Amino acid sequence: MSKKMIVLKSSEGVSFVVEEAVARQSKIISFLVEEFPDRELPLTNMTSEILRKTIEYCKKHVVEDDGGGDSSSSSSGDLKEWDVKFVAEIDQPRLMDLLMAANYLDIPSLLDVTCQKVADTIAACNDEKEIRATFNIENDFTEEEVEAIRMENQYPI
Amino acid sequence: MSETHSVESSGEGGGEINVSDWSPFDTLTEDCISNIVSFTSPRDACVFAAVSKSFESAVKSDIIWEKFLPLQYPSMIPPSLASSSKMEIYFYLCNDPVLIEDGKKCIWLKNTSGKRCIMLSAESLYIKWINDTHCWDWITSPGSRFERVAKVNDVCWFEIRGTINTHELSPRTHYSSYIVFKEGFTDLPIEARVGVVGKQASKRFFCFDVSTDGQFFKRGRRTWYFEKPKEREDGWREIELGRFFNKGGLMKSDEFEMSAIATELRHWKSGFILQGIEIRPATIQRARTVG
Repeated sequence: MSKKMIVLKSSEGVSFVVEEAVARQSKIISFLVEEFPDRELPLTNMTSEILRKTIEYCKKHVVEDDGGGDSSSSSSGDLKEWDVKFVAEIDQPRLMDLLMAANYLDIPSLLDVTCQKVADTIAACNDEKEIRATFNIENDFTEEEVEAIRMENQYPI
Repeated sequence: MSETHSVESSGEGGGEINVSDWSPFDTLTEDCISNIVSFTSPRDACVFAAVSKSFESAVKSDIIWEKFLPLQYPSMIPPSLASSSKMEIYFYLCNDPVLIEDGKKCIWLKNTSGKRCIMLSAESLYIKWINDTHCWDWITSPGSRFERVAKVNDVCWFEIRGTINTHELSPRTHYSSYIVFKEGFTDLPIEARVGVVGKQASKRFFCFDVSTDGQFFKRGRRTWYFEKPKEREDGWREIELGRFFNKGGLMKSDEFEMSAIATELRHWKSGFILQGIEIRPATIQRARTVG
């Protein structure tokens, strides 16, 4: 039995032919293929590079129905390890794009791993100045305003 | 063709190089930023709020604070707070311990981590001879979280025990337990034990007397060190009974017992006032990874 394929089109117009089961990792695509079968789906806000990465992630995470067995705890541990490596290899700007893609396409597990990676970088910063420097964020507060926020939040340290 | 450089000298010490104004956060929606922050800790979220105005706004999101609140938080707050933001509820639970189980226990959250802290009142503990008014009395005391505290009139056999089920606490957390008291009796080693009920417990000795810091004494073949009580901000004193790790897990919970016993020396003891036993996350140096 041949597997059902669908076509996803990036912002540059590049078509990616993927198994439906892979694409259905995205709740949005899952909904769209039911509503509009046999149509290619244009993803105009996703570059080919990010779409390729997203598909790579979904391929790894697709549940193989053919195998029949439950995934053992060791294989879920392997998958976690694979996730960590997957996000570790992506640079910061692309990580943000991938995070946005996971958010847009509604792929909860990909959103979790990308958010976790950014969160880890934030947590490694000692204060707000270091966060600004790490992510190139402009400080639009005055000293007094920062102090007020600290008071308001009881600034637990 | 030659390249031209765009850096111009303005003659005012110039040579200023424009760095890119682009931040990776610029492309993210506020919901995405809130989602990221929900993967950090309450402490990190508060630091994050001080980064910029848009971040401050993102940090107020319920997405974040709902994750930091314990599942049973709706039962812990007064009805007047039901429509408050999750951030307000979070800080309410950090700052105002909530009395539970008929006022016999109170629970609150540690503000930096959102981990649960519990204090067992004297009334919820097992206290030897508590019903004998020659030995113990119930009194009210200002600054106590509970209606009644226990005061020693005169006892020879001093024994208090408290238990806590790990499902009441936060999982994957190191906890310390402390006896909270006033007016301890002096110069008497008290044995503290903390461990799972029915299993081997950790053992240490302490003394209620603040002036006995650094003293050692021999008991059996070992030399023990007296732990020194610490002054608390609420005017009470505390001393650590011991530590334990709560593995957590939905399938299994453990009952931990914490005890303080002084029976071997036939001294009569008086004056001690017991508020209860406090169980809160142990202070362990936070390990930071290098970004």
